[in-house]
Amino acid sequence: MSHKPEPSTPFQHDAGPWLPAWRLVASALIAIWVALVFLGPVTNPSATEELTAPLARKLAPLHQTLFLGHGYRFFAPDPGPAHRVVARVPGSEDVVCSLPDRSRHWPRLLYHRWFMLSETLWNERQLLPPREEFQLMQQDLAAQADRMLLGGERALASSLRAIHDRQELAWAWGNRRTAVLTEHVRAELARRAGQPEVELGLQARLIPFPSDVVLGSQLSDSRYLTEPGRASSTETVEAPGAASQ
Amino acid sequence: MTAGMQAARQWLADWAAAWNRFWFTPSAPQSLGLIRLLAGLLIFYTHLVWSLELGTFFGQESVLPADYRQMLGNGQTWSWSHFDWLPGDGWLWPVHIAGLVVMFLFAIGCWTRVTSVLTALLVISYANRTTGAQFGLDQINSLLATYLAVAPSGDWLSVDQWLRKRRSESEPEALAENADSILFSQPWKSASASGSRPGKSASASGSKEIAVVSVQGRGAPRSSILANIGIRLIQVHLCIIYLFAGLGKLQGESWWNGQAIWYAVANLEYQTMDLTWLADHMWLVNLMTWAALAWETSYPFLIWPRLSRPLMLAGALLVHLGIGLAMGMMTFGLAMIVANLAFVPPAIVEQLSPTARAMAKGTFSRLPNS
Repeated sequence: MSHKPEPSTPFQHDAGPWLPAWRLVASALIAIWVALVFLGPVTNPSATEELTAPLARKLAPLHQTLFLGHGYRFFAPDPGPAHRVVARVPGSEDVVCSLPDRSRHWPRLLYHRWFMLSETLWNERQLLPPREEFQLMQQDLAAQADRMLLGGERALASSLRAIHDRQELAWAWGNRRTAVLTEHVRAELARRAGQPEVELGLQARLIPFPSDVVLGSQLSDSRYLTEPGRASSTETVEAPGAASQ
Repeated sequence: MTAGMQAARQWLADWAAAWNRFWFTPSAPQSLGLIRLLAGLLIFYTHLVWSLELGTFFGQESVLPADYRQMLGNGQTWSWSHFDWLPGDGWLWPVHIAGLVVMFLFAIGCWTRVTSVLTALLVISYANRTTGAQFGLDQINSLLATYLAVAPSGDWLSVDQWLRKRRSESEPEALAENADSILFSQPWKSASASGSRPGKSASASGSKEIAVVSVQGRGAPRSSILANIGIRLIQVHLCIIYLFAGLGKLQGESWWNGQAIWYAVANLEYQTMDLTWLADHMWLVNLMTWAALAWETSYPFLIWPRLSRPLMLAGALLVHLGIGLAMGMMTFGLAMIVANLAFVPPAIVEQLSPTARAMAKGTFSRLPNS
């Protein structure tokens, strides 16, 4: 019943079991590797401030060099709306080019690459709070750190200061990154549309409720296509250390 | 106290033995060979498609800024790509074509020891350069390429294997003539390959026969510990992927209220198959959502017992083919299915693959051009 089928082809065997020392070295390497793989999704996309985020920063060189450290949250936590980048000639409402574009991007894998690029641009903008909002948040944090310091909570105050500085750096880089990416995409779409200049728009394709579809709605209905903002509104702020890049 | 120590020592010894069995038991190379062939072709296709927009994504004026990765790391990155080192766009095509040649050679199992390592590096390099346009496919391609580079993935269904076999078939006569001297100088090798005891191989009678068996044995694929480690790493990595993909879904409301599959198939940008008729049968959507969630969260645990493994593999086939057909991500779906082959025992892979069997038994070498 528990018969294990054996391959019918005759096989040579390697020169027997490995020496204990070899097995020990291999075991250590395997354990380190598996731990690295496991710590990827533990630290990405979310991490704890006290334990896993510092760990992720320490492991970043290894994760990035080896292309590990992925979060693997496929279709999680919820499958959401898709996002498109559209290009318009300034002053016009007509879309001259869009990403992704089924009619132009073929084969499907290429279409998906452009689709992922439009998702990246959307995510970059969503993750970046507006400058004013961010500055208010930072001021609150700094004030809180000052209060802690006055109250004799030096360790807590120092920790809040560190978070404040990290956020400041992340926002500056995020803003620069979004601006540069937007500019590159805009240039490419202008070239494709054969226009000297285009404005970018980011659209979200909402997914209708099943009951709406039962009542006759189509997935392609324009009311499911929203455009909360234009990509061109991103500020360009020089990131720390940018001059040396 | 002594009894406690003894029990602890026994427990540790049992664990060490189990660890050794899991990682260091030699494995036959069929599963690995089939995974290499299929993953290699997928990797080749994935990168061939970049040819259509090579300058747009990899050039100096790429739609993805060259320093985008650095900006992602707030000015610091260890993520690397050989495209960063090119002096100009004139090098793009030669470097890309060279990369494709390496990947194709890897897929067919030619000089696999070298091409597997190069392919793993290339897959990582391309994915890094296209940060911002990459997705799950690149992660699975890289996973497979890395482990196929660690293991001897060219020992089955490969040009390397075919060449080895051809060499071993062309050499016996010449070697048999000198069998006595071979046996005399290396008695232990022929003895181990023929399965006879060292003392027996040294006998003068039948020495030529032993030498021929020895040489034919050299052409046969090798069962090895490294093959097992490669397969085990794919298995463990796959379990980690499904574990976190499943846990991530448990955070989502739509997976709990049974509507997640609707939001996946009714997404126009993904859609390749009109499944909006499911709106009339939401009970089916609920069922599919729950089945997918149950399958994914239980996969890391139920894939190991022999009893539940076929069920888990059938689930993988359904889920990934479904994603591929309905949501236009066939390459990603296929890559996941190929990775799941790591759980199919080598003997079954061989049974399922008549071509492989024919190759292994020498039919391939009797074809007119070979």
